[in-house]
Amino acid sequence: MIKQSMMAVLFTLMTMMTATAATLEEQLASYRTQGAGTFDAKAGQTLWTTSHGTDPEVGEKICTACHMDDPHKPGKHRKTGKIIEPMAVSVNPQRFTDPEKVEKWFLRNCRQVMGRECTPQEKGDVLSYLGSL
Amino acid sequence: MHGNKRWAMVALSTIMLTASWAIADDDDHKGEEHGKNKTTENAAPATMDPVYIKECGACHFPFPVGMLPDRSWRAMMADLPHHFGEDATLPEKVAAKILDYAVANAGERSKNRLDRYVASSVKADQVPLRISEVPFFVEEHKEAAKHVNAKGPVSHWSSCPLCHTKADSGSFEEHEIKIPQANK
Ligand code: HEC
Ligand code: HEC
Ligand code: HEC
Repeated sequence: MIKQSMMAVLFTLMTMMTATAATLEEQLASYRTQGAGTFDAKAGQTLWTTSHGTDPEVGEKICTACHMDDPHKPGKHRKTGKIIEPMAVSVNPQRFTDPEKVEKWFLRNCRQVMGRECTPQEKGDVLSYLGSL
Repeated sequence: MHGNKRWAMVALSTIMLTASWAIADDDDHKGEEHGKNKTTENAAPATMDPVYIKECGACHFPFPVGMLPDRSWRAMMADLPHHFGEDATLPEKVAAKILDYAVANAGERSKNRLDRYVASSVKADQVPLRISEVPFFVEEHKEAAKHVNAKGPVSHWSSCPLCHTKADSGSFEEHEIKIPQANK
C-alpha cells in the first residue's frame, strides 16, 4: 500500500509539473536545447507526407493516413473511425500546448510510421510546418 | 516501475484476484436469461476514471473495464506498444494508474449486471483482449452484426456509442439502443 500511495504522490507531482501550458515557441526552444538547429517547415511537410510503405495489418505508413491530407480539416483514425481534430495550429490553437501529450504522440506515431523515434530536429520541423499553416 | 516492484504488484493483485473470485462467483448468473433478469446486485456502472477516458479514449470509445476479466486488462496493459497493430505506449506511471483502475473495476468486481454478464461469459482458460469477441457479446449482437460494415455508418464494433446511446455513461441497457440507418 505504501507503494500505491507513493505512486499517487508521484502521479500528482507529474500532473502538476505539466499543468502549465506551453506555447509552440517554448516547445521548439526545448528541441533546440536537445541539439536541434534551425527548423525548416518544408522539411516538416516532407516528413508529414512521405510514405514508408504498407503494413499488412494497419495499412499505409504515412502521417496523413490518420491526420488526412489537409491539416486544416479533421482527420479520422483509420482503424477505429474516431475523428481527430485538425492539426494546423491556425484552426486548432489547442494543438501542441501540452508537452507531455506532444511527446507521447511523437513517440507512438514516429515508431508506427517510420519504424523509429523522431529526432528533436524532425519534431521541430513538423511543428514548424503545422504551426505555419 | 522497476522489475521487482512490478512483480510485487503482480503477486499482490493475484492474491486480490483469487480472493475476489470466490465472491464474484456468487453473483455471476451465467445461464440466466439476461435481458429480463433483475438481480439485487445491479448498481449503475462505476464512474469512469478521467485519466482512463483521456488516454484510452484517444483512439476509440473508452470501453467499460467491467466487461473483461482483470487478467485481460493485465495482458493488455503489459503490451501497449503492440496494441491491435497500433503503438499505444504510455509513460509507465500513467499505465500503472490505469491498470489499477481497470483491475479494481474489472468484471470480477463490477456491481453492474451487464458488465458481469459479458465478463463472466469468458471461459476460464481464455484471456480475451476484445470485448467484441467475448461469447455473451457475440450472442447478443448476432442480429446487429449486419449493420457493422466498412461502408455503413457503423464501421467497427468499437464504436459502441453509435448504437448504445448512453454508452458514454457506461450504460448499455436495451431500451437505450438505436441503430443508425445507412440512408440518412
Ligand atoms: C494510426 C493513426 C495515426 C497516424 C498514422 C499518425 N497519427 Fe498523429 N495522432 C493520432 C491520434 C489519434 C492523435 C491524438 C488525437 C488528438 O490529439 O486529437 C495524434 C496526435 C498527434 C500529435 C499530438 C498533437 C497535440 O495536440 O499535441 C502529434 C505531434 C502527431 N500526432 C504527429 C504525428 C506524426 C508526425 C505522424 C507521422 C509520423 C503521425 N502523427 C501519424 C493518430 C495518428
Ligand atoms: C494509438 C491508438 C490507441 C490507443 C491510445 C488505445 N487504443 Fe485500444 N485499440 C486501438 C485500435 C486500433 C484497436 C482495434 C480496433 C478495431 O479493430 O476495431 C483497439 C482495440 C481495443 C480494444 C478491443 C475492442 C473490441 O473489439 O472489443 C480494447 C479493449 C482496447 N483497445 C482497450 C484500450 C485501452 C485500455 C487503452 C488505454 C490504455 C487503449 N485501448 C488505448 C487503438 C488504440
Ligand atoms: C451496430 C450497433 C451496435 C454496436 C456498434 C454495439 N452494439 Fe451492443 N447491442 C446492439 C443491439 C441491437 C443489442 C440488443 C440485442 C438484443 O437484445 O437482441 C445490443 C446488446 C448489447 C448488450 C446487452 C444488453 C442487454 O440488456 O442485454 C451489451 C452489454 C452490449 N450490447 C455492449 C456493447 C459494447 C460494449 C459495444 C462496443 C464494444 C457494443 N455493444 C456495440 C447493437 C450494437
